[in-house]
Amino acid sequence: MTTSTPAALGPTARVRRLNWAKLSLALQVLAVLVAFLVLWEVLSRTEVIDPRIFSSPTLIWDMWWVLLDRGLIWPHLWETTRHLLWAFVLFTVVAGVLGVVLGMRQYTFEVFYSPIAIFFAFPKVTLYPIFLIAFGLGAQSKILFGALFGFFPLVMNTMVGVREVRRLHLDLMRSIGAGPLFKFFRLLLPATLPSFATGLRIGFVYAGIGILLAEMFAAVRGLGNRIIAAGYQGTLDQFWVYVVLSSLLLLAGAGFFRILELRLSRWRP
Amino acid sequence: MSTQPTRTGQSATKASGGITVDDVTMEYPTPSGPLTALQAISFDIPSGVLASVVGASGCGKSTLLKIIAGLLTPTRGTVTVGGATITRPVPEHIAVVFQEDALLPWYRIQDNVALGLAARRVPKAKRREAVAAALEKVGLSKFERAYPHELSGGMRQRAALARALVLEPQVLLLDEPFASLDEQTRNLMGQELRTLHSRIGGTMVMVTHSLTEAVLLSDRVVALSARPGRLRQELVIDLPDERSVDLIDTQQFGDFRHTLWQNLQEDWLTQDAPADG
Repeated sequence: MTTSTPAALGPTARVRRLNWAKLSLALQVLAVLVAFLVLWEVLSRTEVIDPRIFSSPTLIWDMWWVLLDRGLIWPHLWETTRHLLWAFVLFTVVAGVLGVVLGMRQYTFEVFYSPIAIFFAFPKVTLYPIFLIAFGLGAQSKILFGALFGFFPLVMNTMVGVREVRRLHLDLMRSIGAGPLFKFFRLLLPATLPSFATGLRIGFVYAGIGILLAEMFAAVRGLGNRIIAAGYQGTLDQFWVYVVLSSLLLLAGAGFFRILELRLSRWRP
Repeated sequence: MSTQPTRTGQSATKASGGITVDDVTMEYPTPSGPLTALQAISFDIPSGVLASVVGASGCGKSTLLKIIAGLLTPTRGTVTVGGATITRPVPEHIAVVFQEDALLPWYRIQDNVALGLAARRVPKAKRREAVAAALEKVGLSKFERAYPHELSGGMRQRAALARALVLEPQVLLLDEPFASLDEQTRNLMGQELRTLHSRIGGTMVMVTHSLTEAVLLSDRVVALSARPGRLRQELVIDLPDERSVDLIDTQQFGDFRHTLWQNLQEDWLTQDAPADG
């Protein structure tokens, strides 16, 4: 009977050990990052790589302050973030509802999953001209384009999540006389949420890529627009500032949803 | 068992757990016409008895249990429990222990065991008390805060049993409850189930494909033929109430087991025939 070790069940012992493991892992990751930055700096200063093209961490840092001074950071960051959030809300609602509806039955899942997966693989960026013609040059086409990118990962993950509800557990709920709300909050939601959160995380990053792409093609503001403009002007220190900023924006979102995901699947082995 | 004084108080309240299966037929629609899983099955299980339903795999014994539980509606025929016809699950009187443990992996053991009480809106303090008592009964008191994946298969099945017991059902239905366990754990759990039954009473019906398990644990065995499941035999197991594993080696036990095997042998030989799918 006592197959589990006492340590596996003593909450305090387990948390402490986990934190140690996490901490040491975090330090190792940090060490790799620092090593990467130092290497970049050294290679750039010794001109092993061309500093005019690849810049260097210190040059990018200096340029960050210059751009901040000139008021060329926050307006662009806000423009991109704002539109990304709108796209996020849009694809979350549409893909969430559709994912639940299509995932609820084995039949609709089988019929729709593969076509959706095929559309997901389709190079959606080629459709951007159509978006411009249909929705104009403004924020609308950009937000819709971003939402299209985020839609696919979320709808697929939601469908899979809903299918994860087991027949056995539905029978259990019926046998104990559970009402619809009880069933929803104790079975459907907890079973679906981890997969849904995964979809949110991947969808957010994809939507961010969609927004940046849209800004690169047809916008006068936003990080994507700045990246392209700096590239054309040959001001590559600026280019790198905006590239790093874009990555940080997407990473922050992905990190947030990753934490959510882990919190929601704590019960998993 | 009925001679035990501790049970008299409970048998008064649990006296109405008799099960009557009357002419039950179950057909499933398939592309090549209806598939008959159960055919015109009738039998009685008196209140307070621990009974087993045995048969080769695919004979529809789990289907039969689900019909008794009200989870499936038979194509023809009726099931009554305590005189009332079953048309849907009756959570007030009937509890089910499923083939796999069916614990919800996102809840700790205590919350899993409390599930049926929560569905009944029993107040939290009362729930906690009942859960502690049920976990005590199955020997899992120390593990109330563990998640299901932290427990072994046997312990999970105990927790599933506790979840059913906590509802104090008149009828407890068990669908191959020990199928996924190793033989030793299986025997031990079987013994515990029998002990539990003599302690708390009520009607228990267990589905199993093991003739040994059926004879060893039950007061009565219902044997089904291979698909379509028909009633082959109803056998009253007239062995002493106390059933230790050693009983398996006695002549009396062998006779019961042999009788069942004589009746079912053919079904076991044909269970993998192509017609069976």
